[in-house]
This record gives sequence, C-alpha cells and structure tokens, in this order.
Amino acid sequence: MPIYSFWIYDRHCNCIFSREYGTGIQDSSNSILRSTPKLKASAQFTPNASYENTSSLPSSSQSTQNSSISSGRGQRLLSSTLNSQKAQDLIQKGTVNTQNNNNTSKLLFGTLFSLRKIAVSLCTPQAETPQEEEFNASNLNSFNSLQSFHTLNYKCHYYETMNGLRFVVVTHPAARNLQSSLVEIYHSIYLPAIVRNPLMPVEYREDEVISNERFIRAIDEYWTSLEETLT
Amino acid sequence: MPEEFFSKEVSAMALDYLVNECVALSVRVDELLASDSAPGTLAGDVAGLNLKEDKPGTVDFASNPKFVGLNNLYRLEQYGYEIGYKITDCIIYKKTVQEGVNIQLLEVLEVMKFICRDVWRMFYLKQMDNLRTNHIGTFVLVDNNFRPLINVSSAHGDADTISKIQPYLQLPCGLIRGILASLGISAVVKAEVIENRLPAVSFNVQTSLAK
Repeated sequence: MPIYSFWIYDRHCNCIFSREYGTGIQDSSNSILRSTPKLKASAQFTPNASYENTSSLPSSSQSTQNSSISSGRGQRLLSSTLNSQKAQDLIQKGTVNTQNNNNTSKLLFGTLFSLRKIAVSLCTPQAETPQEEEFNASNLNSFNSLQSFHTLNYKCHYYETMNGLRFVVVTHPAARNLQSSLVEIYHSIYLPAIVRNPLMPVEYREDEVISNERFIRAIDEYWTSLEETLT
Repeated sequence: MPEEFFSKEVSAMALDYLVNECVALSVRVDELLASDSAPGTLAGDVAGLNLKEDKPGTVDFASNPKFVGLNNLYRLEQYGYEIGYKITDCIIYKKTVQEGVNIQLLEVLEVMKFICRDVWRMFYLKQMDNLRTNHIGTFVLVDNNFRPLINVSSAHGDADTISKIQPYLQLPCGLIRGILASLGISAVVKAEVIENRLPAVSFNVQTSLAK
C-alpha cells in the first residue's frame, strides 16, 4: 500500500510538518494531493465540495488502483536490495515542508476538523445529568473519535493527541488502519526529537515548520520500514 | 544524613528539563543585565527576564548572540562549579558510610576514577566510557553517549547544532572543576563533541598538579 503524504498540525491549526513521498507509477493518483488547478478552484467552496470532488475523480483512478494491485504482487518476490532502492526513490522523489500553507494542506485540515465534529455530534447520546452534559462538551469526549476516512483513491488516517496535536497520513485506500503507526510516531519520534530536544521549539509560529534533519530522517525511516509502503 | 537524600525518586525527565532551563534562564539574565532598565521592583525584574518576542515553548534564546557569549558560558560553568563543590561530600558519604566502600582519593588518578565512576553514575546514570592520561596532569574523560545531548539537534543542520552545543557542556565542565576543587585540585576543564559525533563528548581536564 503506497504511502502518499504525512502531515502534522499543531493546536493552532497550523501545519508544522508536511512530507510528500514520491510514488513513481502512482503519480496520477498522487496528484490528488498536489495542488492541482482543479483543487484550487474548488477551494473557494466549502471543504466538503472538494471532498466530493476528489472522491469522484474520473476513471483514471480505477486503473491506477488496478495497476498497483498487480504490481504489488510481483514486488513481493523482489529482493531486499530492490526494496531499499524503492525506499530511496520514495524519499528522494518526495518533498519536505513545501505544502504547509497551500490549499491542499488547508483542505485536508478542514475536512478532518469538520468530520471529527460531525462524528462526535452524531454519536453523543442525550445528556441526562449536568455532569454528562459537561463531559459531552469537553475535550475528553471528542478526543480521537475519528480514525480514518477513505475515498476511491486515497485513505486518510488521523490521530489527535490530548493537547491538540494532529498527525495525518494519506495512503492508498486499501491500506490497513495506520493509526497505531501515528501513535508510534508520536511517542517514539516526535517526543524524543522535538519535545525532549532543548534546541527545538514545541510552540510554532505561523510559517514556522519542523525542519530538523534528524526528525525528517527518522520519519522517513519509519515509513519505509513498514513493508507495505514499498509494495 | 537521612536515607532519602539519595533516594531515586526524582523524575529524570523533569530534572533534564530543569537543567536545560538553566541555559535559557542564563541567557535571559544576561540580556537583562545588558539592558538599560535598572532592576528595581520584583515585578520589573520578572518582566525584564523575557527576551523580545520570547514566547513560551519557543527556542528564541538559542538564536540570541548572547547564547554562546562568554558571560553566559561562564555563568553556566559557575552553576556547575557550585554544585560540584558542594556535592562531593555527599557522594563521598554515600560511598564510604552507606555502601561501606573505602575509597582513596589521595592521587589525582584516583580522583578522576571517582569522577568517571561514581559522580557520573549519580548525575548521568552511566559511567564514563574512557579515561586517558598523559601522566603529567592532563586527563581526557570520554563519554560516548552523554545523556543530556542524546536528543539535541537544531533545526538548521549538524553544523548549527555543534555551534549551539557549548552552553549545554558548560554545566558538566563546572561540575568536574568543582569536585576537583573541593578535593584540593585546581584544574581547567574543557569539553567538546568528538569529531561531530553527537552525543559523544570528551572532557579535557588540565590539572596544575604535575606528577
């Protein structure tokens, strides 16, 4: 299941890290997360409009899906050197922190934000006591009720921490639930490399991003170490 | 001395943050001393301890030129010196009375081994990895995985990280110097990152005792 991109948003809703991976043959479906003119036009509407827009992309998405499945079977037989070659491709053809402020990033955030609100309000039972009402309105209730959503040509995995940090990864729609990976990135990469690093801030200004090389390398290593991202 | 003096119930992470915050505080103190505002009321002093646009959670203090300034480095080294000077007694007490080990600290080499083994284990939860000497008063103490620097890396690459590392090395330098001073050895201690291989650090101790 190829991985397309990885994003981190801070609690002020700014994108503090974006990483796009080069996916070779997947370029056509990958472009849905590049800021194509089409997306830019739709950005003037509500996020939901573009959401539908991307999910109903023309039949080209169907064919990419097929090709990825057939190529996936073949690649399982390849040696590990080829896999590492593929990992290199994935890393080098991608971009780091180039999309933090463009429409794609904002749309992605807006979609997730609204989806989360909707999901919470749909599943919250009627409050009977004041305490229940308070709980329903509090952060604890809304914490992390959205896990992922997917369309025909991508799947978006979401993890939000208690203090409002949001980790998002966009993959092929057939991917398994990667939320556990996001949790792992949070505690085994973000915590040591950023929070426990005295030379990195934990509070980001607008237009300030995580450009720490060690962090980027660790993220790349993590995603390429998942076998399925290479097949 | 009560037992709880050496009980291990302080969170290592909390202590790390506190020590790291000393560096930031020292920069702010430096900035305050350099500014024209005369310290007077307590409120004025506290307000003065903020750098310009110094938001909580950011690392603006590290890009301040005073961060690697001599005043800052000297102040941090002094913190370490004071701690080292006072804590020697506690560590010796712990070794001799509590653990019943008879340690000899008569020779400089013995003192260095004491620092590498006991002091380092107490402060950084591990021993020094290597101790070298030229037998005429110079010692090189090597820690290949210096705990405070394990996670340090700056946003602008390795060269920038190395240039910003010095303030974080001043405290242990002062610590070594303080312990040596309390045992009657005057020394100059310098620390550097070994061949840009973070977190490997070597401490160069130049004692005045020729032996």
